[in-house]
Amino acid sequence: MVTAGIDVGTETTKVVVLSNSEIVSRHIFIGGDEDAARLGAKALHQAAAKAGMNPTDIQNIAATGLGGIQMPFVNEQVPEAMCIAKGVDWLLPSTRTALDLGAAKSLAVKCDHGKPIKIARNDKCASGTGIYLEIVSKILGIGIEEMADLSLRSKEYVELQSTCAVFGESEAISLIQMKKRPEDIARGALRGLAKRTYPLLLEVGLERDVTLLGGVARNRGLVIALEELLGHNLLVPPEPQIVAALGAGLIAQERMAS
Amino acid sequence: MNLIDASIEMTKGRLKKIGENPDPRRLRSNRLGYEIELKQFYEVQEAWRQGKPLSMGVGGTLAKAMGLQRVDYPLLVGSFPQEVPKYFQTVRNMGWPEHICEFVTLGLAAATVGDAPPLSLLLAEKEECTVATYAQMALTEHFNVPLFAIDDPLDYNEESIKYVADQLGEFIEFAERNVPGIKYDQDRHLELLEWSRIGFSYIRREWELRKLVPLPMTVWDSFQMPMMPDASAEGVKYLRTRVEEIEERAAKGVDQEEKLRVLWIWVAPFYANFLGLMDSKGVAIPHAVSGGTGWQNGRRGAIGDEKEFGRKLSPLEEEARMQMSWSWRSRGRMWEDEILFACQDLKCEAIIYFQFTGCKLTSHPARMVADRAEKELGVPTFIISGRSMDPTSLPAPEFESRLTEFLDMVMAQKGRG
Repeated sequence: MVTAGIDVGTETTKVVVLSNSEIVSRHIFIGGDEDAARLGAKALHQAAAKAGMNPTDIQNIAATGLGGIQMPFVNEQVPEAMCIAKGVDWLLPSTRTALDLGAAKSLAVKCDHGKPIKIARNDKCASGTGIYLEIVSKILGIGIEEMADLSLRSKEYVELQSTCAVFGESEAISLIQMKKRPEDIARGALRGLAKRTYPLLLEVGLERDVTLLGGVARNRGLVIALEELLGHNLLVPPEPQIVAALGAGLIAQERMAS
Repeated sequence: MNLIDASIEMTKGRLKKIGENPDPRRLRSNRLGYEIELKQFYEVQEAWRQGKPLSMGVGGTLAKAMGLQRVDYPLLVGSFPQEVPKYFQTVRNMGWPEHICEFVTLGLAAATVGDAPPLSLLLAEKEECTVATYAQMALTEHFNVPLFAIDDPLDYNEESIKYVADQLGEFIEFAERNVPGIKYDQDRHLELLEWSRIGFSYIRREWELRKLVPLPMTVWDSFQMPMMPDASAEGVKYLRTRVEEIEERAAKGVDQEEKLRVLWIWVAPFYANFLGLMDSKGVAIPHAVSGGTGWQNGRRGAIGDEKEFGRKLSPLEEEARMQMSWSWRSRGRMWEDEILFACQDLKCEAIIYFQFTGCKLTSHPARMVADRAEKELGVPTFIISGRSMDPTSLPAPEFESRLTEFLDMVMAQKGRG
């Protein structure tokens, strides 16, 4: 039984191919200006190739995230929270709260053995998503990956108070003009993002273990900032971006089996 | 596009469809409702042609008793989504704010471009929905017609009802003095109020039927609880026939599994097929709160109710009571209480709260309603914001996907996935 899960995000498309509930291939496709259907098809093709298959060998395909509905080869569109709960349970079964931080959304999901039981989402305000980090990193003239490393060298506490990404941008510029060091600004920005996502965790009823997912979860500086806020360690899977796609693929397996 | 002519054609089309190919799942009595709507559109068309006085803001029964033809711009616009981009452009051209209540701005736009009939008189309320008040002032300027503004107190009680009723008396004198063709007829008013009183007794009977599980009607028939459609024998006949039909269905038994029942608040993205989605998932909507729930379930006095204040109200007090009992126009607590009561009374297991862009009165309390529903009733709330006619900020697939996510989650928790 071969299935695939596709998660179409704002900046990347993730595909996981499964055979009898084992991952045989995963692929992260960095999207260009094409529509979701083309991006999904390309990402699926490459993931299948990695597994030594043709896309036609995949018996059931489930999609989640933005634009899944536009992909004609997808058999089913599955809500994001269900995929996250399923995927995170497969990878880290002790998870009770998952926080998915993507480029353009943040989503907290309270999980119970692979099922979502409460959801809180922010997809309206950029200050609580990865876009905010992109804005600040551009001002600092570095990439997001570098921003994490840089923040770990911070020595002075700098607070970015703004709750709006637009004002956050001007706040970061002001801090540069005030001769604050880039590492301290980077640390402040990550701490600010952590503070803005924290209410989502409270809203779903924070319960340990808490697992951080999504592209932003690769940012070690943010993980530390959130851990400081929560007062305990977070779990982060080795490939935090693919969790929703994995969940979609697992759901596709279950649907086939039933 | 003449929205009255178009509404007539649309309603005739609906009646034709019901006549030729009725959906066996829908209520047969819908036909009577559409016939009343058609009659009302013809009346507005006739008044527009003959230059009879037209008004907005005056309650239905009072307007009729004064010889006024009532026009509701927002309702007219809501039926024609294809015209919405044009009206938005008009809003921008006029320099009006775009991101306020669509019903108000688009209705205003339709009137100013001549797609809806011109008004002879406006009754404005100085109340919490300041957007509506300002729109009425703009219309007054546009049509160069008299405006009478009523001061609405926030609190709903006998004293404030008397205060508003006194102002309605002044409004009648003002209208008779300033607009030719207007003459208040109290006997006619009493007659119309009596039809309304009978009508409301059927509406309350329907509320009781909405408590039944499974709900003996489809989401399309339950989503909008009928208000008093027309203070007339036909209006009462429609409500009676509808209730009797629902009772008959309930007695026969409903051949449809109800997996979940949700309370809806308050408008919806009408460009999305959300009712089809709910129906396909076996989700019932016993009620969509619009602010008049108090009359429907008897928590507030409807026309003719002598128990609420221990006495019979005068005709103008009856009008004032109806005007003031819209829960969104009062303190937020009244809105919250109304929702929580409806949720519990109708055995709803979840709330879908559509935060309507630009409606500060209903959007701001969303989180408070959600918190209270969770704490007091153990009921989860799905809050999503968007507009009802413009899909730009919330495309239909996104809305449907997120609604599915919530419904599936609640059903899974209840073991009904």
